[in-house]
Amino acid sequence: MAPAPHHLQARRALPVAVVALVLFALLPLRATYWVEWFKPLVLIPTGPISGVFRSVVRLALPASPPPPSEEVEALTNQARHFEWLYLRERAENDKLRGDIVELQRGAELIPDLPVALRLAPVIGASAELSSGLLTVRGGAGHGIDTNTVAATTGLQLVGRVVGVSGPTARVRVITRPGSPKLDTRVMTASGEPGPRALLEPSGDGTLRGVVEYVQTPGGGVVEPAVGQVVRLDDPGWPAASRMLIVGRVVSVEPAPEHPLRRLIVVEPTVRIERVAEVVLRSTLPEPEGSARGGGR
Amino acid sequence: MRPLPFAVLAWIMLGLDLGLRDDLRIGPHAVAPSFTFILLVVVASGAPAVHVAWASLVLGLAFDLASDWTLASGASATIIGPNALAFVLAAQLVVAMRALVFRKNPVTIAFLALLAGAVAQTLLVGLMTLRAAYDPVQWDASEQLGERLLSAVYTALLALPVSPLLLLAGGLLGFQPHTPRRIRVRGG
Repeated sequence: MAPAPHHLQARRALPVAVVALVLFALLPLRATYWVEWFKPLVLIPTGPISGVFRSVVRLALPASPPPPSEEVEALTNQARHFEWLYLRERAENDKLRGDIVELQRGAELIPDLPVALRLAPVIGASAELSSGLLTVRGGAGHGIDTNTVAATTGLQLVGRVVGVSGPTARVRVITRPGSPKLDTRVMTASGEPGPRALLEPSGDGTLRGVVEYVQTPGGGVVEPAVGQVVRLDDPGWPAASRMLIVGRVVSVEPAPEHPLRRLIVVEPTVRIERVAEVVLRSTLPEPEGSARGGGR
Repeated sequence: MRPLPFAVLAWIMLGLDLGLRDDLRIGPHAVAPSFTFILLVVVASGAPAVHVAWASLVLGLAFDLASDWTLASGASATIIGPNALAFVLAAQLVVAMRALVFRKNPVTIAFLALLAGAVAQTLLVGLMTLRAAYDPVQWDASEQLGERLLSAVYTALLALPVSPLLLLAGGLLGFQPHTPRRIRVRGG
């Protein structure tokens, strides 16, 4: 018997394909997790072209206003970097003090973890806009995993890697609705870590949350103020993100449900969804034989 | 329809979608147009019905693979099917309506994009609402339906400037000119 003509085969196969799609659309996630493996089939070929379109638009709509000069920008970034180093070491110091106390009680000392940095261009967003994900170039081969965080060169926190497909990674932006809450510290005017605030995305590119009520030794209250820097201090985030900048306080008002506490609105220092490239920060595994305190 | 020019156009349109979606987004909402959907409507308005069905399936699958859904845990997941089925249904609607309209007109393409977009997004919301009943997907059906219908309107508006370029590429895609069937009358 002669085979059916090509167009007839295509017509017959169509209902089968549609039924298969209906099944895939309704099967529970645990049965279809493996479709993730096919993402690179689309993301690898479209990555370069979407990156080009995005770069062209970035030239017209940059993430932050142009700096006065390259020298000033470099010095500002340097100053931010040293400030971050100081704060991170300070936070680490505080943690180690706590660890020593724990060690004296028999607990294990957790050593300082080194951070690997990788500059990665942002090549696009997810086709499903409500997911709030950015696609960046950098895959598992570059040491990127779900413990990697994304920041700008100015140490502004962008988000956290939630998935890696082939040579691309997907970053959940901190300001998108649905992103998890962030445990942060409002830095005081002298640059010291101040009261804590649990911030959540408000949907308009800012984050908002109630600041904890902290009394000074003199009986006063530590009040947040407009312009103060807010930094990440969340134990649920990787160590590589500790003390990165979340944004600046742009508004302080009484919290509706807590009259004694303040509700702050925090705006990132750049328009996060418009960044052209990010620095991926991964916590490196501890080198062999470098464990301190004999804990490992 | 020629597959290679279609693949190149699909690649460009999907690249535009992924690259510019954040910039074309309206405010904080997930309201953004889709270049890929405009290509689908142009193809569905001119190509043979079987080619349209397979083209819509391929475009929808590519869109599904480029999409991420947020789970309650904060992780992301890929789901194959919702966009592919929505694209197939939208394409079939355009195929059913194309005999009634003047296809080479950008306003017609925009109108078809609006109708097909609304139908596609409604199906997608229905499927995902059903799925959210047993899968831990972050999903608010009423909010999603509103945002997606607005996205359909936005796509239709974008089709006004984009569709003339795609209609010009119609020759490249190898669309056959549509000629009305002649009725032969015997005898007399």
